[in-house]
Amino acid sequence: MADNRDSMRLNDEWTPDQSAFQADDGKYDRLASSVGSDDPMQGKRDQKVQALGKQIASTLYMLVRNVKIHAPDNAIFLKPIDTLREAMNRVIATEKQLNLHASETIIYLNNTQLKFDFGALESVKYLTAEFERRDIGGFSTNRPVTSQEIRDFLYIFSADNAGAAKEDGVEGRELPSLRLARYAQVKELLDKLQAEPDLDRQIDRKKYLMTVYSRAVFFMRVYFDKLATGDYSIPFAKAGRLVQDLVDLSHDQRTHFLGVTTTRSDTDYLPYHSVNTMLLSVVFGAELGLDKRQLHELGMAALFSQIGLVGIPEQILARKGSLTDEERKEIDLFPLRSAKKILFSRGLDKSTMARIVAAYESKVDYAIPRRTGDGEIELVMPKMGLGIYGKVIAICETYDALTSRRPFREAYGPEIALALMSSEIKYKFDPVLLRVFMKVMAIQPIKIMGEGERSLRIG
Amino acid sequence: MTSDALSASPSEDEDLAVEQRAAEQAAEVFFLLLKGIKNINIYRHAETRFAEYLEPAHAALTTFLEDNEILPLKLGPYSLEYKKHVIYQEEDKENLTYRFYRDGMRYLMFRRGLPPEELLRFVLLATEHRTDAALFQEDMITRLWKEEFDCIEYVVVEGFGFGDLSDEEVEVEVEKIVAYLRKQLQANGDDITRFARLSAEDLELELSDIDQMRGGIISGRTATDGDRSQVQEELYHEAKKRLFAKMVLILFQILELECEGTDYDNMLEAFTQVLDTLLVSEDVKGAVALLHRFDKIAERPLPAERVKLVEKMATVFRRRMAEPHRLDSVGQYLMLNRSLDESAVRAYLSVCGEEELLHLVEMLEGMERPDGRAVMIDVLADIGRKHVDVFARRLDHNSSNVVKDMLAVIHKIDPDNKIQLVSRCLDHPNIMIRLEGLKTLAKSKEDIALRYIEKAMRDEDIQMRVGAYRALAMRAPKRAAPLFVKAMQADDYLSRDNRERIAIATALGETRTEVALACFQEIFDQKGGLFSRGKTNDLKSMAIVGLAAMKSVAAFKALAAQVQNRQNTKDIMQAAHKAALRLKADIKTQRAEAKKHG
Repeated sequence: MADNRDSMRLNDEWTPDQSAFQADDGKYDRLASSVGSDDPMQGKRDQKVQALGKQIASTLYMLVRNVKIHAPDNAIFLKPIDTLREAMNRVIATEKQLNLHASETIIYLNNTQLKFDFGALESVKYLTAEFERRDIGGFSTNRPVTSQEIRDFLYIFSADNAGAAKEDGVEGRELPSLRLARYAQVKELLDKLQAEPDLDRQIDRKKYLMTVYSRAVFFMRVYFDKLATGDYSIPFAKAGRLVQDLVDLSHDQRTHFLGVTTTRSDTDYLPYHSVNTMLLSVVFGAELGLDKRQLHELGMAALFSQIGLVGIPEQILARKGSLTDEERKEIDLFPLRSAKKILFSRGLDKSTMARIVAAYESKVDYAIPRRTGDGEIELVMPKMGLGIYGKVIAICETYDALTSRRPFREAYGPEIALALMSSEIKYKFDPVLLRVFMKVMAIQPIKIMGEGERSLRIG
Repeated sequence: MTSDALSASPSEDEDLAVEQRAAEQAAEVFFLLLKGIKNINIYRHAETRFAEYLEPAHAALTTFLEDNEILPLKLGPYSLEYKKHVIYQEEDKENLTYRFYRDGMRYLMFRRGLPPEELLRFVLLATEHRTDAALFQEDMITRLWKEEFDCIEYVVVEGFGFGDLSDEEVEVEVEKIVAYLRKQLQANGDDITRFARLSAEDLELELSDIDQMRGGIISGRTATDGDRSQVQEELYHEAKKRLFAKMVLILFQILELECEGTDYDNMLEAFTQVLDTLLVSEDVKGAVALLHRFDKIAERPLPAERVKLVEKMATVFRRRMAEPHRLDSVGQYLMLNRSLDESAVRAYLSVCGEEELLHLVEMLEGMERPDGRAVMIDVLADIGRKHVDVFARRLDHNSSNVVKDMLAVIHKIDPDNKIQLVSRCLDHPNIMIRLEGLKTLAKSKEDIALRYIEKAMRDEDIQMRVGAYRALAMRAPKRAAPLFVKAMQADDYLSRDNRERIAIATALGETRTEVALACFQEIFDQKGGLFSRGKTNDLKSMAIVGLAAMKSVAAFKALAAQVQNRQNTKDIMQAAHKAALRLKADIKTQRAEAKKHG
């Protein structure tokens, strides 16, 4: 029988008060935005990097321009150098490194392309042209920089220095922590990224699917590692692109697509499980008639629905036998942890709301059976009704979990998993959706029943 | 001619010429496209004509694609290139390409078969102005992708790998997973869809644990059209009606069950955003519900540390509720919302303290809606109990509404020096404000107010004086009567404006005193000489007015006597007769009313 960890549900009381915050049609569509906050420390990772990167670039531009007139040690630079130092060190403190690459109109900070306003492009061009003149393609460090080091770096661009800089700056003003990259190298790297596509090349979509799937698994693996260290920032844009690709592929590669979801890893369970749940949800969603936008939303919600499991001690997740009350509580709280982590990754917006609610509701039972005084079983449904995304993810996630080998049990075969889902734990799922899911999975369990049999007793 | 050109073979020359022609054709397409965009921007409201504006560009593009199958364009920050020929360039202002370029697009391709509506959707997307915050949530590439274009493709640069890893390192790791994947799938057999088939092992291994399979036949079914439309309906309903409510409740669950000290800032930020959303949606009741929920959670049996955290958050949340821009939102609601929920506003504004007093006063100053102002007056009277001076200072305000409100607040607070404060209005240059002050003084029970009412009787404006006469008559009849008698007997009485004469006589009558009756009687007893007959008759007319205002039987009798008094002129007798009849009717009505009310 399925372990309770396979079918763990959040609680039996997803019965929120309907009167409060219940919107009329689209009343809360204008979700107030605080994520566009200008304060880089208030924002989330991507925003933080963008804000700090732009600050670094604009201060550098101003300094590089002016060190041609005044020496870098001049008192007028005290404040801007301090500003620059502070911004650079904030990047190092939060990202553990600072890698800046620049060429022409493009600047990357820690692998993130800075998105400048159109009006700032001329300054960027000026800065990168100055870098090029000194054969600098950027700089990197993982240690905090000092104001003196910035002065020494600026000296490279001063009127007193005509030559190109070496990896550690110029002679007599060596840089203790900053390492300079050659301009040509960086340019080559950036040009490679922009190479003209072969328009006649036919992509083997099956192979491509495997690559995207693998990238998604890798992405989740890296992301889970980061989460474990307390870094909640999710590079949503990157995840979004992966899901977009997979949604595209699911359209014409459905069979192959489902086949890929059979991949399991005992040692790397969570990344595979997350990606499989996402893939299954996308296929299932397509069957339910969701359009591309909706499939993308569903896929993103599914991909991150399990992230609350990170942080639960392995001995609980892998425990054979039943769990203690404390351990049970740890497990029960994971949907809330998923919700919390998604929330903290970039603040509230409509997409985040959909993901949080879906992640949470995927662990809320569709109905709770209760025995009435007459001995009949009645089903108690959540008052507010579960959303489609949560219900779809619940089915896909449970199915993938059941068909995966876990330290506390062997993997169930697909039919067994579905048999369990439609019998033992059937109240946890929307029955209509479950039946469609079974069709999607191309299961025909009726074949194993005798002719004319309406039910099957086993054991 | 260069040597390179000389050495080029005829076929190369031909190719170059073809390419050149194609580039010119592509440039023409973009020239026409820009023209279309210009028209769209000018006639933004004429949405039905957008397709028409793009028609020439679409025709040119279709011709190009018929010859070339595909139009691939390399994007630069300022330009578009077709096979190294720049076909579009704009460096001076925000251009068509940059917003795509900065989100990573490097190639844009139009394919044969591009329908006009797809081109239009693309153009609208490319020219739409969105804020940075909105683009952060959904960049241009994601938006393009969601448009589901069939004949427009693009190549995007994703950049340098994942996290700390370079592109190369990422590829190595991904390759490892691909290899693992292949191995796994091969192990599953050639036909990877077999995974869904039942195997004998499954039965042997697993089914023994299942006691019973209920429900008869377990079979799937394809989603019907009905299922699909039901799903869409639910998605719509979820997004429009339930999502936000669910989100809020999840937030509170996180706070109650899963929030730690390090989560404080993020949680507070989220709740603040929820609050702002509610305020933007004019849901003040919802905002108050948030507050109550904080309090409820703090009362639950939670670990002491979490209770402390919740209480701290509730305190800071209250402060945020009271921040000026949020109070302004509530003010907007008070001013504009059709179905004003007064109790919700009162509950919301209860988070305000003395620090917010000035802001709330300013809010009230800008408010016109009477019921909104009434709410604010109550709130201010509550918060500003110890700061009456704040309201008193505004009694000099130019707006009569503001002064009226300040008087109302002062009246509610009822400070010891209320009358002195209110009396300041009597010196205000605006008559409306002086009248308002007088009204408040008239309502006041303190004797000291009478002094200020008497002062108002000497106001330069007749309206004020008239109001003051009446106020004094009502507030202190005995004190008023001799004053009015004196006024009526004064030499200048009849030289006053007729309205004022009537007002004094009426006020005297309204005192219902013996003094008043005697005064009127004395007037009737006067015998006018040859030269004073007109003056006497004028006074008698006023006495009739005064008696009519007394509304008493004695006054009626006095009037009836004058109807019969042959010494009166015909006019006076007729006036007395009319007044007596009216008074009789009034008295009857009065008695009937008194009887009715027991």
